[in-house]
Amino acid sequence: MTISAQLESISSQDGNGSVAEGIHREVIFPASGAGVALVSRQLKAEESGALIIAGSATGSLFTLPTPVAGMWFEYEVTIAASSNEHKVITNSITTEFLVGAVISASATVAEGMDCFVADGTANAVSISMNGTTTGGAVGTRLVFTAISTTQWFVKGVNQGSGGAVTDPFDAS
Amino acid sequence: MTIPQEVESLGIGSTEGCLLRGVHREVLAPTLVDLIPYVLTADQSGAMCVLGSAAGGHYTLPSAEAGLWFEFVETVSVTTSNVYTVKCATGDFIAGVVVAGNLTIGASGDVFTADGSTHLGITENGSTTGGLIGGSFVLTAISSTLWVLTQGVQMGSGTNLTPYITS
Repeated sequence: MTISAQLESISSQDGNGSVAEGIHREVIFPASGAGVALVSRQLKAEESGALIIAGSATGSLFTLPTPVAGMWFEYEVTIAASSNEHKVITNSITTEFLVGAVISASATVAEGMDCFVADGTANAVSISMNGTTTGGAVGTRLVFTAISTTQWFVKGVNQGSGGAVTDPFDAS
Repeated sequence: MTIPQEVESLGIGSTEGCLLRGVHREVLAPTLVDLIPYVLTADQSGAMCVLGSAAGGHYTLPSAEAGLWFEFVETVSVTTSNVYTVKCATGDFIAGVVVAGNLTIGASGDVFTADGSTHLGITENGSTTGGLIGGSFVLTAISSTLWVLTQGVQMGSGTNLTPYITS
């Protein structure tokens, strides 16, 4: 069990588990300021479970919180960036890394799917999507889940266009 | 509603539903020993189960019960002499698909379907059937005998082959 002891528990730990009916999620959809273009929106631990929307043609920038195992964020692009890029980055690029993979496909290259790996080291501290070859077009969906104090598991489908898809993971 | 009544309910029954803010998931990262399965239980439903050893590892699902779900993620590539395996309890089956990506063939891709009647689990060998870093999938029980496989991504090399097992 890796969940921090100071977190509230919403289950009594009964052996049968629990069910949440009618559950709603927090949606984070910045229209301006932090989270739009090059201005970072720092995500918080207490926002874990939220749906993050990258919905500006001028791009977006979201910074993950310091990972605690069990935190997670879902990320969706609703408008492709035509300037800057849509980017998600770890809070500390020297100690917090992405591990996992995305499937990328190009809307303009038939059967052009490819997969790209985040290797869990300093090679992968962010995912940057330019709206074309590195993805980030409408429909891109990623999920980030902290599996330790140093790694976020990332998975998802990255929609690209304009030619063969290329690696969206960066070391900065 | 197919979830058993003895399960706790987190809502108060209001028609507006409920909001969970800041919710964290359980992450299971046990030390997996090749050939010795880690047996999951119903009260671990919703957990992210890590497959993170080059020496392989095995999980066994609890008996299917509608609403149970587990996510499996591969954070280390299993070496080709070993395997990652997730298997149903006796009498249960898997239905669904995985999309197979290939790290050695650009613009590759394939899809493999689990039939819900003969497929008992998934095994990945570190090459053709997947098991490389970045693979992941979700299994959700929809009845007392069937797990549906969704969000499946099989990361492999060489010629992609089906990861499903029938025994």
